[in-house]
Amino acid sequence: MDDFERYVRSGARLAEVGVSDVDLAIMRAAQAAYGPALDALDRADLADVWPEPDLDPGRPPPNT
Amino acid sequence: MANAERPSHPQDLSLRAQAAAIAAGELDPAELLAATLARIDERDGALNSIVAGSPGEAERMLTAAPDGPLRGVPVAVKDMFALPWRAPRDGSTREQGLPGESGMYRRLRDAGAVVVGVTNMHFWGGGSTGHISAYGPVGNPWNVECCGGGSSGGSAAAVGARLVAAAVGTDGGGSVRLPAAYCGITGLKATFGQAPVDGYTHGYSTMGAAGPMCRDAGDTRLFGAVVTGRTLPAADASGLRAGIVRSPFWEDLDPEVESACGEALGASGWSTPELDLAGAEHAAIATVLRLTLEGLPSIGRDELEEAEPIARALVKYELLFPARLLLRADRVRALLRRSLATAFEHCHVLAWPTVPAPAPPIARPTVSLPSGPAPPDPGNVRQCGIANLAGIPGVSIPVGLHSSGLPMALQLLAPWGEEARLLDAAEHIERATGREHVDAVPPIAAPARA
Repeated sequence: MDDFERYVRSGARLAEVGVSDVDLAIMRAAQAAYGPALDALDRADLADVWPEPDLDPGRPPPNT
Repeated sequence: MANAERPSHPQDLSLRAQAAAIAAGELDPAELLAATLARIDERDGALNSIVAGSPGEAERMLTAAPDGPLRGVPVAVKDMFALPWRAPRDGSTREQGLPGESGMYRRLRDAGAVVVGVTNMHFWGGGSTGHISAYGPVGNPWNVECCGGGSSGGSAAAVGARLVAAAVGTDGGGSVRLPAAYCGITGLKATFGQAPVDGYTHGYSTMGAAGPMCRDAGDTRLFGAVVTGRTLPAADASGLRAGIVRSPFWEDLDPEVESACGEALGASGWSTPELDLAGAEHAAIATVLRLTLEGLPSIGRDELEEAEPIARALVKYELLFPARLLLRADRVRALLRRSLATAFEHCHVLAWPTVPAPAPPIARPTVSLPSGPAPPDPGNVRQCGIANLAGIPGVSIPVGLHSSGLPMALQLLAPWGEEARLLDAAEHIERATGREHVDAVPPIAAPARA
């Protein structure tokens, strides 16, 4: 069992969902596709980027 | 319209020509409805774009049709909206809510339109290929063995195959623009909040917006006015500035897609300033995370275990996303909105390909990119998700046929509320390219040889 499978199975147990071998194979493919972008987001310097309060996606951000 | 000018089948008329001919008494809406239903029976077997026809309900709607801009015109609706006779299924086997008069249904009814069917879609709206659905995959009008796209693939395919001239789609991460690109039609994602959300399965979302899907910009303008409840007046778009954001939106593209989109922009005569968008490199994953956050509470555990295997596994994958990444995605969202607002101070629209590569085969949904073979979703969401995060409108317009025989498309984005500008820009490109691509007829809709 590699690190990814350990992560999936322990997380699934906490979330109270089962993970079949088919599920795991598809999840591995998803991780291959999205993992690098997730890692890049995790490493990004967003310290000076604050979320937009009272976000209204139908309008431009305030002060613009 | 003189009889000599009229195509042999009324569904080969544009949406606006159908509406005008009915209003002028030159086209019997009952005959149009009958012809539309017959064509759906003839053509949709291979396409699988309509999952629930409604001939009886369509006739009732026609009988009661008020004198609106689409009186008597057949349209189709994505399986995400409650109709009086049918609860939406969201591409699954389960009803999601109750039958009823969704806000979208009321807009169509009040415009005099006639709903002839509910269109197929990607399971739970969760993909850009349309090959995963409880009703089977959606085919492409240009090659039925290829994906019709998602998640509004049925709507795109129905319009592309000339089953109807207009269909409603929804777009939470590209789901109007992406299948429009795959099927060679025009698809508009409206500004967030422009379309009614009552009776819409994803009405909780801060990312989703309904949108019109039609053959060209003129039809999209007419249908878009009904969908958004706003007039979308036409204006000259010859002097626009189209901002080009090279990274990441013009990177890792099929060379023919890049060339076709570049040629379309060249034909437009617009100036094309090069711009940067801070945060753009994280737009795709921020889209996935935001959609995940918003969608997961709607999926019950028992429904999850009954779901289509790929959709089920992807939801389980998403369940395990660390919470901190969801919060970082929201910071990226704020950054992108500010970046876009600044960019629009230097251009009227932004332009890049809608999809990096044309529609893949249903049997093997993988696209070929310079970086190598890849599943379509990551690249497709990269191209489109930024508009959903920001809330801005976007349109996909056909700009050529790939050597594989499948359509290629250019996407234009505009500031909040500027749907009319997008349609002006789309019409400008149509004229600049001699309407070659919007008037191209897919094989499924080609006249039978004598």
